[in-house]
Amino acid sequence: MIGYAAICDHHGYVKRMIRNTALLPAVEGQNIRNLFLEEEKLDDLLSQDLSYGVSIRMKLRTEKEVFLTVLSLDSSYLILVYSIQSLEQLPQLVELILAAIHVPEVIGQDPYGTGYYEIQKLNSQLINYQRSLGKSNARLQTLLEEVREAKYTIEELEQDTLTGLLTEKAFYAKAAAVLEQNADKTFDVIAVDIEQFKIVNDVFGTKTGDRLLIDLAICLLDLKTNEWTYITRARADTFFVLLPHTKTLYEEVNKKIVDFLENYPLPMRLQAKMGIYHAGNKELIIARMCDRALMAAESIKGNYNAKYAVFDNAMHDKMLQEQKIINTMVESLNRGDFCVYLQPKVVIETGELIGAEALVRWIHPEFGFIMPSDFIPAFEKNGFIYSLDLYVWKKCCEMLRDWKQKGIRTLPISVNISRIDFYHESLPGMLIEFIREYDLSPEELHLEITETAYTKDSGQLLAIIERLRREGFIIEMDDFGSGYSSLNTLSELPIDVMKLDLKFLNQAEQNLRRQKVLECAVHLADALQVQVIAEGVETKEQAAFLKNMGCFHAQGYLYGRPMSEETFVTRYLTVPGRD
Amino acid sequence: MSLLMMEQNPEFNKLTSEIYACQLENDQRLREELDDRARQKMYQDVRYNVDFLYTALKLQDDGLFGKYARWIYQLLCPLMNYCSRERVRDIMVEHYELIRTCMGKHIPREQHPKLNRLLDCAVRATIEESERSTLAAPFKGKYEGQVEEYLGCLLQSDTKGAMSLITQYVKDGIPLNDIYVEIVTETMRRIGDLWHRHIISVDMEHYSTSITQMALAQLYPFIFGQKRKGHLVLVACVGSELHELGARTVADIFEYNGWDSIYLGAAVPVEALESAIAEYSPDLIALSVTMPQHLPLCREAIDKLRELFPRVRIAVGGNAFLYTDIWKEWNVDIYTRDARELIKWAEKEWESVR
Repeated sequence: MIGYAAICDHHGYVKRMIRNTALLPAVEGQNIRNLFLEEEKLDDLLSQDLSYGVSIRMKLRTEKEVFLTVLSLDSSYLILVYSIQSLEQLPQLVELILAAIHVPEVIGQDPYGTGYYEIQKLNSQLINYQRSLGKSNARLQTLLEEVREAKYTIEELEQDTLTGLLTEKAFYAKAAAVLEQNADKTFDVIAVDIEQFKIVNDVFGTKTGDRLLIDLAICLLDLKTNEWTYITRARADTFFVLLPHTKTLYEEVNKKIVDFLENYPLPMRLQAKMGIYHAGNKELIIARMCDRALMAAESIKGNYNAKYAVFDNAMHDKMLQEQKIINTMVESLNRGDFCVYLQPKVVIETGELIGAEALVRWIHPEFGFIMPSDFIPAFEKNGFIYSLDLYVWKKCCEMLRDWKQKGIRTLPISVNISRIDFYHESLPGMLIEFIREYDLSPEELHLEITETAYTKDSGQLLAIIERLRREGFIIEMDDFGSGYSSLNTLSELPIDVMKLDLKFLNQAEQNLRRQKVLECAVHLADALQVQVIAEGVETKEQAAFLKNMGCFHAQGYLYGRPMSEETFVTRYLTVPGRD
Repeated sequence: MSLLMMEQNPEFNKLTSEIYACQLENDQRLREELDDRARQKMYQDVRYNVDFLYTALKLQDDGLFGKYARWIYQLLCPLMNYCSRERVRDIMVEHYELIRTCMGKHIPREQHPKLNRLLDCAVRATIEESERSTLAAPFKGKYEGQVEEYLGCLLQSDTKGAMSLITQYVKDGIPLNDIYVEIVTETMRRIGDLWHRHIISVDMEHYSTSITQMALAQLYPFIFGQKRKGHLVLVACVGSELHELGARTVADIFEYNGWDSIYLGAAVPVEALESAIAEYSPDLIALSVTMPQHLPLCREAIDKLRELFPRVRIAVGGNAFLYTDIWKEWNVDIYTRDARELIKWAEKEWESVR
């Protein structure tokens, strides 16, 4: 683009040059005629009336064709010489013209006009600020990077950020190395687990909980008297220690921990479980050793008398068996190895049958008879309990229908619902479906739910139970007295039947206070129109005691052990001479 | 504010007025044709010449004025293309003789010998230049294409274009050092020339500087993101408040090469320099001087700094030094033509101190 704008006098001498994009050689003091070939044309133009501007086509001395527009101002001309190659250059040209018409008649400009000068200074300052900002920015980025790296390094350093002990991974690595390098020594893995640590957090806050962990860590660090001892906090409140075995080790460690906890300034009784795995079998990896130590610790859970437990073969076998059980549970279920036994519920006075509790038994083709206490906890842990329970409930419904169809006298069967079952949304639906499918009425299937299920804070659970009740099911609370019911739960529980735990009874015989409480509980149940059934009654004395107490129904070995359906039907449901 | 040194010197001010008056007196055509504005310009031109003379006197550097005479001759020839080269030479020689004549009235006698010598230098130089068969060829470097491209954008006030050209050059893989020193600096030098030849106006020159600064600022994330080497350079401009580009080039290129920089900006008084050096303890101080008229100021500053900080390294650079070797007599470590040479020198110097 050629764009030239200048103010000339009436002779054509350039007084002030405004723009000169193509560096045409007509500068201040020179005459614009110098630019052009056809001077006569220019003269003609200048003699016209230029008050509104006139344009002509001209040739530069370089032969290039341009436009020339002249506008007359007061005592001078505004000269525009221009030419564009494409429409894209049009805006630039317009801007040039606009710039030209805004030029004031400046007389005697300094080499650096003050206005421009100030602006330029400001601009320089701005750029300097921008530069500083850019530098700071880059510096910040580097710092950020360094911080990140430092963080990674700390993590790499294998330290648990809370207690300063080794991280689990680091512990396993170091322990493995130690064991390998010291094949001649014997080592122990000790697991220390604070019981009910969650309560500390809940009641006193996580800060206090953290403090406790830190302090315990410090206490344990005292054990680190040699280079073969390592300590880690593996899970939230579980500590593992690897150290060389000494005769008095267990007692020492236990005393240390007990002393620590007893003197700990917290208004709560703290207890720790300690489990030991004696690392004789070096073929196990550390992680497994820790598992076993922990298993030993868990075996004395809730046992206030046991101080520590050593993992032994019995535990080992149990562990193995549990594994085996889990491996075969599904096939067993499909095969029908699980069967439903029934235990009668009676009126104490008359021995009259009022119902039966369904109890699952497992007759394993390989292991034989497996006790529920052996497999129920495992199934609850791995979730298989729901499948099992569904099977049992279905079976019970089947029984009830069969009895009806065969004209046998029917009575309600109570089934157990595990706390775990409540996590399944399909639960109420399934039960309702079974009732429908087998043509029963809901009252025929009583639902036994253990007390601990209630107290473990679940509004959801309560909601489901209420729904089932609305559907017509009878709700029985199992193991009443074994948990920590409060008046609140008692008054709000949607139950129809209360099953009194035998354990409570056992203790009541000796204890006047407990007797009183029991009496009250029974009266309370009565007042709430809740039936009371005593569970686990084995002796006549117990029965008599209960009657005195005001409890008129019972279940237990005294009245019949759990038995197969066949036996049950034959013994209790079939009237001799009939059918 | 004045760029000119001789503000403080009443005698030389009077000399300027004298020369100006004489010129007008002697030449009737000038009197008739020049309007107010043009006369102002003429006066400025005379002042500029005399100021240079004064500077050369103060710095006691003959070469300075001689080189100036050559430069101005080169500048004027195309400008006054209605005159032949000989005619231009004559005009200039006349002008120097006029100075000589007017000198007697206003300048103390003891300075005359020196001034005469300087004027002789100028006359000689002018005559020599005129006898050269061709004008010195304009400088055409490796990146001539880019220079023309960038210059074109500036002249057309194409801000967006100029800004994107700079980033384009980076993308094209042109080394940052070259972009700064060969493309941008050369473009600005040409802009300066064009302004000096009155081909473009001063606002265009300001605009070019502003846009160039903005365009280069786009590179800051790139420049400051390089790995640090742990050395510190302190950069400042002596005298000129508007000629920061050279100094900033040094600072930026040093940053790009891993140095940290303290950039003090333009027209930094000596006290500010002193306190900055005391605070930051830089490894190297780089001083930039654009106008030869500010060279004496620079020398003063250096002398003061040397007193306080005998061991710090000092480098000088800038357009002012193009006309003279005077830095050799100063207490400085190095003069380099451009930032690239300076960083090269610095890298070598500090290599052992790693």
